[in-house]
Amino acid sequence: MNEFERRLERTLLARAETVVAGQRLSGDAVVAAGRSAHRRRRTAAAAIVAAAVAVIVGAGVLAQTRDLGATPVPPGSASPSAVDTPPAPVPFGSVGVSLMGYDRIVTPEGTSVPLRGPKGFGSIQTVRVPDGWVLLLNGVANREEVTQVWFQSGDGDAVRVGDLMSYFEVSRDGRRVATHDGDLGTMAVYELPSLRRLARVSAPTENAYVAGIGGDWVVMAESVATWRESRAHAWNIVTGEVISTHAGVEVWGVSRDGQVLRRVADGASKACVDLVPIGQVGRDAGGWCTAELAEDGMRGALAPSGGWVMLHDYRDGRDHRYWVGVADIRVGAGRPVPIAIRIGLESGFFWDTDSSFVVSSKSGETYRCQPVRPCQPLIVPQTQGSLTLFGSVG
Amino acid sequence: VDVADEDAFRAFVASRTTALLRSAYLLVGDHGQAEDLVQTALVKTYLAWSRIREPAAVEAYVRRTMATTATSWWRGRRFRERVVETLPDRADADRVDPSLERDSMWWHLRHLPARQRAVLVLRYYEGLSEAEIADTLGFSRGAVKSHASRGLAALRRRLADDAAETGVRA
Repeated sequence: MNEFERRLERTLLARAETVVAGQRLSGDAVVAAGRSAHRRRRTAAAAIVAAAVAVIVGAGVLAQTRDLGATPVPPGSASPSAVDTPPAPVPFGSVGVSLMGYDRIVTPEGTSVPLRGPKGFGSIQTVRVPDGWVLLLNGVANREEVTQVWFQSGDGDAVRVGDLMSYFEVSRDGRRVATHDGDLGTMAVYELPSLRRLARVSAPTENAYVAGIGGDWVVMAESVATWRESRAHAWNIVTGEVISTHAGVEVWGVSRDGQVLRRVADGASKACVDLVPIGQVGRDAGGWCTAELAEDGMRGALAPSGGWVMLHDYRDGRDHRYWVGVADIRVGAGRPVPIAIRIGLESGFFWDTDSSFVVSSKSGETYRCQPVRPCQPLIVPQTQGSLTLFGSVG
Repeated sequence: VDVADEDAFRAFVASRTTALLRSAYLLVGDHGQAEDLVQTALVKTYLAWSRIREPAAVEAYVRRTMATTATSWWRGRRFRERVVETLPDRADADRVDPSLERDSMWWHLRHLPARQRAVLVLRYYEGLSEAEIADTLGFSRGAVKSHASRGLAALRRRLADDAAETGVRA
């Protein structure tokens, strides 16, 4: 071991010692979580069948609304108007949302479609496209944990797009999917449903992942331990051009017409959010610049229409600070516009239409939200910890 | 899992949590995420408890689960939603200071790709051999070598860049 390696060793030992001894995870709590996981495995299969029935007859377990009004409003915004009486819950299928659970999909129409991928694999990410579903399946094969992208057509055939894939992004018309191409060093775009590879390129770094696709461009970001700003890369799949930014850009989304929503650090205490054409993702920051946007927990997502930004502030679970706000960045000043949603936000959400999104609360309820309107509670099966909703494109 | 086994599992958790949390913290670089990671690994271990015959294999199982989970890139999306520690103020880096050196090294270590970081943690903190790291992470030995070499090179380069900026010897 040389001096540099010894220095690394000392750093690791010193850092490890910052974890002080003490019982922070109780055996009872882990056992309870383990029992619960065991029960979920057994009940998920039954629940997904029940879900199909629930979609059709409109029965089921009502999503509760006790979280509404419980969390602070975004800093710098006007107070949200008093949340109106929430609308009555509706079955998830009635708003065009599908359900993934265990070994099958329940469509908005209530049809139960068995997964045709490897037995025992679960889906991490699912998107409905015009001709079927794109799925990221994870499971154990030959004693190794593997993750694969699959395409399952509407008539039930399933084709593995490739091994060792990462998260994928599907174009808003549902005709293209971008992901890694067989190893972490290559990115590719495939045509759907043919799965013909349209283009491939060497990934700019081994920790690059696809952050969005719009028109002929794919935007990539880099995963770093902090999951904050990194470099971003825009790849034109027709010309092969790759444009890379300096560090300090966080890609928050890509609209259907190829606009990228970026957060760019502007010094230590301020950050800017703006929309730029995907091919100009490296240009200097502009747009809406505030101290709030620089806060650690601040995240955003761009509506597919490009017109709305959903902002959500995720603070460490210890102080349980969550909120969701919306800003209309088309007005230029970027004033956050209150949205009639104050939900203890769980991290997952997806856009189910060009201007509405589906979000889960920390206590497990699910809502469909649109700017400046009360969120619509969705009826979902009671065991939703094992079941996930997903949307469609195209 | 029967009652006796659950008692044995609780005893394992009580005796090994701090050590596991330390390893997890080095793998993910954040105390809150480390607790999540250990809990995730312990729940998986609970589910597999009856299949793990050798008591000595239990800790290896947990550590393997932690390492493979931490290096699963698909966890990134969830982790991207989490708050992490802020960068120490490096504007003060105008003198050779052992604690600063550690912080700079730590800062750059946390920004390595997860697999490179995991290999370095297993090698220089856990003291595992290349073969043991390969077994733990499910990589080939060649891949372990490559990740270690690239991780060390990146750390050297970034610390040298820091030194060039601040005048501190790397």
